[in-house]
Amino acid sequence: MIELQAARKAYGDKVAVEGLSLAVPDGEIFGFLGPNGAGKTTTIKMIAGLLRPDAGRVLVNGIDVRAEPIRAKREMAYVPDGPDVYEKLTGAQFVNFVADAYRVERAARQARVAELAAAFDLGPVLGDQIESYSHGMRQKIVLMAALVHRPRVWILDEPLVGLDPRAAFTLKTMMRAHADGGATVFFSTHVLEVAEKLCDRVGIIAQGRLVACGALDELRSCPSESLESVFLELTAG
Amino acid sequence: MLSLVRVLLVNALSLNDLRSRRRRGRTLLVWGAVLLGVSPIVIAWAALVGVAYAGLGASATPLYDLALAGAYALAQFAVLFTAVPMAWGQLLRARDLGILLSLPLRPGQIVVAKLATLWVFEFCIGAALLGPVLFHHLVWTGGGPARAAMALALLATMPVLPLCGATLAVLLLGNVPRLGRSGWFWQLISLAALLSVWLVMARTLPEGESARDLADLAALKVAQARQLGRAAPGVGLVVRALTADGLAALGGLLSALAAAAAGVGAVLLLADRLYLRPVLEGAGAAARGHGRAEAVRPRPFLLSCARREIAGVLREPAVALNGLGGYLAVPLALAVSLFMSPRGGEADGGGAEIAQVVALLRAPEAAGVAPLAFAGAGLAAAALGALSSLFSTSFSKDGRRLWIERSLPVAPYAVFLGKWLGAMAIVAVAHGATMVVAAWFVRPPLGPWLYACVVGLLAIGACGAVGLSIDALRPKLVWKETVEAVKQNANVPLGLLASAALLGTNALLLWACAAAGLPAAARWLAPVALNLAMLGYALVLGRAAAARFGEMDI
Repeated sequence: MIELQAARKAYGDKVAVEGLSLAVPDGEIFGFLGPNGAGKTTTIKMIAGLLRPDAGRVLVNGIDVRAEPIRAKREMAYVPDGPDVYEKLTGAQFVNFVADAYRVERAARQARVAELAAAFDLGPVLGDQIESYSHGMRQKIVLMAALVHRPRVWILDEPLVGLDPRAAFTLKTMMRAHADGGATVFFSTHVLEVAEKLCDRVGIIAQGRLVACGALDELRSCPSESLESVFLELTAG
Repeated sequence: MLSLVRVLLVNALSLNDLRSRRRRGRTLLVWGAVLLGVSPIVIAWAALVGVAYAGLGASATPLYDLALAGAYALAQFAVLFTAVPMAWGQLLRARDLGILLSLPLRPGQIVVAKLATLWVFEFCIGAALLGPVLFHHLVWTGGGPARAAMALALLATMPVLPLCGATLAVLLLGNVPRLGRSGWFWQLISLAALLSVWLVMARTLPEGESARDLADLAALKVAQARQLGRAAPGVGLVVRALTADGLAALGGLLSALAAAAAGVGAVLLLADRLYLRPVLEGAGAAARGHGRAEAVRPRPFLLSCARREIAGVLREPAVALNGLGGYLAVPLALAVSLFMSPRGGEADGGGAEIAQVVALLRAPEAAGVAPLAFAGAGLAAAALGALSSLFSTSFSKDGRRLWIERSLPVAPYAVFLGKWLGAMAIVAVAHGATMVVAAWFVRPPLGPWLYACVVGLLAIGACGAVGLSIDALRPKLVWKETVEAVKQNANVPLGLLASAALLGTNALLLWACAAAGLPAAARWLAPVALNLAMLGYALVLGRAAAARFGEMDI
């Protein structure tokens, strides 16, 4: 479960997120939508503990991210919007490094790495340096590393960007299965069709404020209205 | 085409920073600092050239042509050496080829645009070296406006031939299978080239005292200038253009310009085959082989973090060489001094004198001096490690990848310690190797030498922890290439200052021990105790710095 309580973040004079309150319960895929510069990544970084809110609180599975960052981080996986990773490490070294931080046991690690490598079709290149990977492969290795410790809460910033259709399908299936297993998936996307098909609820942020939040049916004024129309209407001006 | 050159220059020089109100001040400050640093050298060189020309003017047979030939050749060699790494960066490491190749541009246009960008940088170097010589040459030989115009044309075209030579060399080496795109390969090539120049210069240029008299020395210099002139392409033509009259001068100028044009033509002719075609055929991708994935083996995070640090440094040649520069320079200097030894490489280089000193230190009456001498030796070697930028750029090197460490469920101090351990492991190996090499020369007793090693390592540890703390507090996270995080990082000089202070404290302690007449046991213990205390304090400081790093917004 993720909870934001009146979270605020400003960069100098520019307020990126203002009074954001939100709760994402277990067993839900939550889509976080918004135009460029609306505050999506800032919000996600606050949840992941990379940015400290100026005001308000962020709780992950009931743990205050600011007060107990290490405990909170143990609960989650974070995938950033760009796959900036240690290019001089091999894929396997990077995954092992992250798994060491989460203290994943050898047997569990072996099984999980094999499972994820097969799912993302990375097995043959795990011994290569990441600098030789394409953008999509880097995104996959970041996903592999993030999921290696079987986290309860997934926080994914534009996770589908750069993935090939097969990998994108695999990830979406994994997200659904994860939420159906009673865990939480919080992700941002610009692809409204994906949000429409995948999410149990969506939140729309514009100019740092949450302008809408709820199940798709609750956001539509009529059943035939698309999420795109809702989005355009709410984020206009 | 001109638009392409403009774009490449704006990008290479970050000229748009001047338009940004936020960055303008900082950019101007950096440029001003560079100008301030370079201008005294240029001014001194110009003054030296003036004095040399005055001396030539006062002599019975002024050898203006030789001075010009020598200076022109020197400028060309300078351009050649600086152009190789620049051409490598612009041609093989630049990431713009994907965009440029997709534009409706002919391959020749792309290559010429890149050459033109390099020419701007090389012209600055050439003008600084050759400009004063041309000026004085015109003044002392009484050249009119026509000759001045020719001099300007020759100054502008001077970098072209060496630039083309460097470009062709880079393209040829860049196509060596599996090696051509390797950073280590290029770093080693550059190092070997520098070393060769050093050795050749040292072998061919005689020492002042070896010349029997001034006349002999002058004759030798004239011969060397002629040799240099023959070695550098186009020098004869330039000398003819600026010393002959009438048609002969014009012929020299036109021939020099034609030689430059031929150089560009050669690059254009071969650029498609050597540069763009391999790229289009996927040379970079083909060079990558599949490695074997490392075994899944859980490790403590501290160790895992240290391993990551070590891999990150050793696989980034520029970072590794920069970080271990001190340790590489000293053995190289020793090797060169051996090579240059008049006794044909006999291991001496002052070794006999050192052996006498060591023998004295072994004597019972030197019991009070030995601890301080060995601690001093260890600290002197530690100074090489304390100069290392590995510590003071460790967080900076992570740049945009800092999210990884910050999103992991580990205490910031664990990351700090992991980085410190990783850098220490690298420096400790270099330190140990240096001490072993030094022991081979000095033949010291084993125990005190191990003591010197330990004192040195403790001092490096303390200096490193302070350097790392500085970087944790103010990392430079915005850069395009990792090497920028190392070479253009204010934390490096700050780390050096801190290290100097710590080593200075050590020197003070040694002096105080000697002055206070402490017993031998206390003299052995004092440096260890001081460095242990400093290391402990530095690690405590590191904990506070890491906590600040953990709260930093990224």
